[in-house]
This record gives sequence, structure tokens and C-alpha cells, in this order.
Amino acid sequence: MINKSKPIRIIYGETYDEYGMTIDSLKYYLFLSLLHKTLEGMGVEVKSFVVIGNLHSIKNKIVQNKDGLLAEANARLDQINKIKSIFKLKFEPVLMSDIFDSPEFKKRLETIMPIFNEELKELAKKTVLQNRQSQEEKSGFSYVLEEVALIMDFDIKIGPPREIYFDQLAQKLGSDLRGIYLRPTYPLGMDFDFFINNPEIEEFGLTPYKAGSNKMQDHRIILGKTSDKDIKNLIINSFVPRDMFLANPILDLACIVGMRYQIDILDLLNNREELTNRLLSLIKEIV
Amino acid sequence: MTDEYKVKLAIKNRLAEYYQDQSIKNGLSGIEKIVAYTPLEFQPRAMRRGLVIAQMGYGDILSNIANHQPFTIISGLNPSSGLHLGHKVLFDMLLELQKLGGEIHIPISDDESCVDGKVDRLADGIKNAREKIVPALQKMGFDPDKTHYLIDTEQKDLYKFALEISRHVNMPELNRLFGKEAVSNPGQVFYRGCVQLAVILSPQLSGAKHTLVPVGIDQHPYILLARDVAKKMGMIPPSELVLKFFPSLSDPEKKMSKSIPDGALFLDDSPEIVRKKISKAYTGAVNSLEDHKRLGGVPEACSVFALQQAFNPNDNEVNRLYNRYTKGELMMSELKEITANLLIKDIIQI
Repeated sequence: MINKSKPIRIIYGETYDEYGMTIDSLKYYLFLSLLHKTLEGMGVEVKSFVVIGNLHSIKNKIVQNKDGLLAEANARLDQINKIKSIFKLKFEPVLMSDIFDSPEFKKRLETIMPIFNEELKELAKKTVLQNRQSQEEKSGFSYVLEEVALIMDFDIKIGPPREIYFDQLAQKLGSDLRGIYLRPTYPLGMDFDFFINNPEIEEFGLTPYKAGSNKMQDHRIILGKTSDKDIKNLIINSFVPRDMFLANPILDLACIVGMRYQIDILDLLNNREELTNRLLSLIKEIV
Repeated sequence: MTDEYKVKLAIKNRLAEYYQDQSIKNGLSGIEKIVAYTPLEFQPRAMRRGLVIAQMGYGDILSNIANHQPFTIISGLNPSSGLHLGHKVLFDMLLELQKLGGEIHIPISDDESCVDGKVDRLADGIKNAREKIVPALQKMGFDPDKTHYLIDTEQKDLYKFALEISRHVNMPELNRLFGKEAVSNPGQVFYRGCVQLAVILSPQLSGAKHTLVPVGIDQHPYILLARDVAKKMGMIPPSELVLKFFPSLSDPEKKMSKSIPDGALFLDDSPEIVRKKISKAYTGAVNSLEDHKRLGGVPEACSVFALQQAFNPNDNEVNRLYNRYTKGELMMSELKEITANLLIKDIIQI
């Protein structure tokens, strides 16, 4: 799919909630930048974006203080720019509201709305959890349509596995978009039985960029909010399975530290104290 | 591939299909995720060795284990014969679960033996329970403070509780779950529809608690009924682990049972009898040594390898035997010899 005559456009989009930025967002920023640099190294022109989904962050009817949350968008933009600058990352952060105001986006949205048939609606239902399907249906699938109209303008989208349905919709509507899915995000500080007793989280994980996903904010590392002591406890008390392919929140932390400092991930996995110290240093760099 | 080898493979496939069909038909959940996530020190040997095939609600018990909280285990037998190795697989698992926090109730269903005609008189079952079964169980290493041996007909409160339970169960339900032939006399109706449920739920009379019932697939209807009744009575529905049946020595597709004496190894068999029975046991290897070396064997169709799987405490040794077996490097004479030695040295109670 690489065509060196035109730039490759990559998108990673994230909404947010009132709890703040999770460590898991860093996994996506670091990976996006790594992909960007790799493609550039191959002589390809690349344009990468982190889209801050301010408008979609307040779309769910259960969200309270919508005005306050919307107002946090610029602070989030500043925070991402700071991380980008300190870590020397290669992408541009951009607000969803700015994209939605553009004539190109409005045109794409108008184009896809009339061809959004029953088959596509069935696929659209899969993009949201079962308990939000009727809300989405009543709104005429506005969230899904906007999301699809947004991502259709890109060649590669990075996201958690659950977003595959958005990408499939975009493809069915004629986009050449390709998805890259990082491992699901799992709560920290949980023992093995949690993953057996919560099969949906075990399969799909939590929403990486929303600390309050599944009301598990106390089991996430929130930048600038989770204390060093709590971080240490969360890491110590996290179950690590025998099989690397099973749910493993410590592996994610090792990947984040590994990508930032170019350290072997297996070494970090085998030394939780070293992992914890490196992670705390990493957080201090940006908070 | 020889015809004889095809027969062995067919046995392996039929057994796998049987357990898969039973799990699906009975709405049981798989055990794969549990085996994958549970640390090895929290897995009984039977689970590590693939002898547990399905579960219902076992995650609740695992939470107790992970949090070092006590739980209750109920599993027993009917006293129509002495204990054989099929029973011991279950009791070995109970022993391991006790070390993980389980308080064990072992009901001995002399009432079932009577109503099903497995003993001539009720008194025979009681005698067998008192004189053979309880003493044999007491030698297995259970913590006496956390183990209760309960002969059903000696539990007066049990029958009172059973009467209360009778109001929550109906005949069409019993007929559907057990089949009409299994509830064909009033004793069977009372036992299957009330007494056995009272046995399973009785630990909760002193307060709601998580209860695990390890069973063979044929006992699953009791768990379904007990879960239903528990909900109606405000108790915690019991959890279930389903074990494979332990194969007869003479036929891996049949259950080890006293009704086929040469197919069963009893805990009080003499060393000579053990060696004799094992020497005649059915294996997963073809008769021709040349063909065995060329084709390898089928351990899944072997009643002798089943003994290694269930009773050899060394995981690595069992894996090595399995690999040598499938490659045709393990001779059946050697397997039979080491298996008889293992049983005589560590398993059989002489």
C-alpha cells in the first residue's frame, strides 16, 4: 500500500473523561511516533495525527458536566504537546472540533449518510457496548457516522482491537483505511481470578484512553494523579500470567518504558523493581 | 496405518467427542481459560492433567482461593462397594482443594444405594460405609478438623431440610433432568428431587457460603437443580467442576466400576492382584512391536496411561512418558511395570 508519491496519513484518536490522562495513552503516542519514524526511514512521507475527541467525549448521555469536560480539550492539547516535545515524538495533536468544522469533513459526512444502509447499521451496532446500542440507534448512529467520516480521510488508523468495526465500516464505504490494533489495555493490581470472572474485559480490555472505563479508575495509572506509592502497589499486585498472550497489564507498562528508553521488554518483565523505577522516571519527565 | 491403530485412534476421538457433546448439551462452561490463568500452585493435579473437562461458576471459588477465603466442598459416593481408584481420583482432588482453603463434606449416600437397588438391604450400605469407606477415606490425609464424613441416613436434620426443598422442585423437572427411568420409585423421587439437593445445600443452613461440587458428568442434573433451588431459597448457587469418568482397565470407554471387577483396581487389592489386573489392561499400543515403533501409540485410549495421568505426582515424568508413548519409544511392558510399582508403592492401601 506504500505509494511514495503521496504522503501516508496516520491517525490515532482518543476521547477522555474527567479522571485525566492514562499511562496507556503513552503506549499509543510512542507507537504512533515509532511507526512514523520507521516509515520515514524507508523514504516515505508521513503525516501522523493524534485526534483529541473533545466532541465525542461528551456525546454519551451519562457524561455529567459536559461543558467542563469540553473546556478541558485545550489543556489536553497542551499536555500532549508537552509529551511530544519532551519525548521528541513525531505527530501532530489536533482537536476533533477543528476537523469537524472543516468543509472537507462536512462533505464526507454528507456523502456517507445516504448510503448508510441496514447492513452497515448492523455493523455499526458492534462498535458500541450492548448497553449503549439503543442510545446510538436513537441518535441515528451519529457518533459512528462522524467517526467513520473522520477516519476515512486516513490511510492507517491505530487503536485498540475493539475499534476494528469502525475500520470495517470505513472500508465498506470505500476507504482504503487499514487498522493497526495494539494489545488490549488491562486494569492493574488485579489477581488472576479477575480475568476469569470478567470475560468481556479479558477479551477486549478497557478503553485505554479513558481512566474511568468500567469504573476501574483506581486500577489505572493516571498521569499527575496516581501517587508513586499507588503506582508501586498497582505494579506489585498485578497478576502476570504464564502465557505472554493472555491479559497482562505489566507487559503494557514494559512496552511503554521499553519504547521510551529502548530497553529490552523481557528484561523489564523479569524485573518489576527496575520496571517501576523506570516508569516513575518516565512519568516525572512529563508531569 | 494398521486397522488396529485406527481402532485406537477412533477410541480417542470418540472420547473427545463425548466430553465435548456433554459439555455443550449441558450448558457447561469450558475450563481452558481457568487452566490458562490459574497459577499452577492453585490447580489440582486433575486439572493440570486434563481430567477436569468443564465447570459452572468455578470463578467464584477461585476468588475465594485467590483471597485466602474459606469455601466448602461437597462430593461423595454411594457405598455399594469398597473404594476403587476411580473414587481416589476425586478424593485426591478434594485433598488438594482442602489445602487451598476448602472445608470438605463427604456425603455417603447409603439411601441412594438402597433406592437404586445397588445393595440388597439398606443396612448393607450403612455397614459398608462404616466399616470400609470411612476408614479408607480417613487414611487419605484429610485434615480431620475440616473434613466431615456424613452417612445420609444418619443425618436427621438432612431429611427435614429435604422436605422443605420438596416444595421447590416439581415432577416434570425431575423427569426432564434425570429421565423417567431414574425416578421410577418413590424413594428415587425423594432422593433425587430432595435429599441430594439437601446434601449439597446443607452447609448453607448456617449461613450463605460458596460451595464447590466436583462431580462426574452423570451427576450434573443434581447441580442444575441445586443451583435453581438455592436461588429460590436465597442461598448461593453451588459451583461445579466436572471430571472425566475414570476408565475401566478393560475398556477405556467404560467407567471403572465394581460391576466389572477385573476392570477396577480397589484400594485394598493386594500387590499381586494389582500386577495381574494391570498386566491384562487395555492399552493404546498395537500388538506388533514393529508397528508400535513405526506408528507410535495412542495414550488417550490407554487405561494404563490413565493411571499415570491420575496418580503420578511428577508432571515432567508424565509428559516424558506421553511423548515416548506417542513416538513408539515406550514399550507397554515398561509402562505396566512402572505403573504397577507406582500404585503398589504409593496409592493402594494395603
